[in-house]
Amino acid sequence: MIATRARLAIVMLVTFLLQVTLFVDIQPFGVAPELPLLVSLHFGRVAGAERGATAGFFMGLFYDLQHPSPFGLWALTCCIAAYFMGNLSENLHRPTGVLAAVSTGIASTIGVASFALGAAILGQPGFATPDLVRISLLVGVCNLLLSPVAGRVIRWIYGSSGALRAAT
Amino acid sequence: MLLVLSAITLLTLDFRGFGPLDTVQRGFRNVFAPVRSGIEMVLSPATDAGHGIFDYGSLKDENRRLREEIDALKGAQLQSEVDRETLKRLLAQINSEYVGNYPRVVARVVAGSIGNFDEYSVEIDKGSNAGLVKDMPVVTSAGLVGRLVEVYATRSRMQLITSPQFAVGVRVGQEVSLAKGTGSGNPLSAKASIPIDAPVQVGDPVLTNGQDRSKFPPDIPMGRVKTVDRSSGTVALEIEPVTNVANLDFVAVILFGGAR
Repeated sequence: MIATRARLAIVMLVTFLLQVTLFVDIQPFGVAPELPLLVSLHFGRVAGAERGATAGFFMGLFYDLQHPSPFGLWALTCCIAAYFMGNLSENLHRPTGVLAAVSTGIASTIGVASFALGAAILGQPGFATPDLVRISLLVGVCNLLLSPVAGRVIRWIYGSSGALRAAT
Repeated sequence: MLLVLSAITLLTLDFRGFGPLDTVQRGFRNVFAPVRSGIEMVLSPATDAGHGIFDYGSLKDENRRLREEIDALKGAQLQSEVDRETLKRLLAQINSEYVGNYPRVVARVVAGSIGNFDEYSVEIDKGSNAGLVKDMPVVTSAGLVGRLVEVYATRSRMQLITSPQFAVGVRVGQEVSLAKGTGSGNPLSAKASIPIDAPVQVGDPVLTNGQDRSKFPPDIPMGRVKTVDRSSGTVALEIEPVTNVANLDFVAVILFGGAR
């Protein structure tokens, strides 16, 4: 359990640092992948709805500390995204391979759009713009491409405990 | 459910401007600023390669445009020096301080926007340790490029003049019409509207007016009038900024407004 938590903390830290350093500079077609959302979706898929939602919440909270959006909004988005992905995987279908990447891409698109609309509802300017559709779709594509790597990393975190959850 | 409620509570506290939350966020950013700087330095070959892959076409276009601009600037430089001296003399006559007399801190743009919804701000590598405070104007040698919106110990976040949230009092044209200049949301333009009878034409300079308790000193060039639209009750102006804010490297923060 301690090893799992230590790995989880390391992955969260690395995800956060990559997002606020590498992907501030590298933005294909002007859009950066949203790594915190990507790993949260995989938290849900691998660790299940409840554990995934908890990990997603803290991942989002980490991102909130640096992101110029209302504090708590990324925590809410990542938490809900992980919960829904976990529920879908547990109760409906656990996709693998290409299907897993595609479902992550679609969920990322929905997640980013929901985040931006949430910010707009809270009165934040610059979120619900005509560009939102393009940004959401491109984030979906970026996260789809990065999904296999993220999946491997998250499976490494949970190791046998994740496999155990998947079996139950 | 508990986590969702926690997130909503945090959002509510942030919305109400809860001080300790801001302190935590500020402290975190101060602590992580040097870590980010170190990682950015280590990752710079990767980011350069990324720029090479994703920005190749635009870099070629930009190089060609910059060469043309250099040619034009060589010609304009001499005229500019003469104009600056004339401006100084005129300002001295009306007891107004020349903007070049304010102390400034030179900083480097070190990061763009984090995530996808903050395209009108950048980070610079100077903060409160260098005497910067919120709302100070930021310029290049050409003119106004933005203002500081968040200041941490070693870094600051600057809002660009093209941001829809950016606003500054300006004067336009040879006969000085006062207006409020704002960002347009377009990375290459700003806008303003002035009374319908104001004499203004394409190419007229747009400068900060520095009136009343303005956060900007007067006479910082903001841009030139690009289009004039008289179809509504006022004259809507599109302003072409003097500096291409999409490609900033070094900027200067004018130490103005801190004591106000």
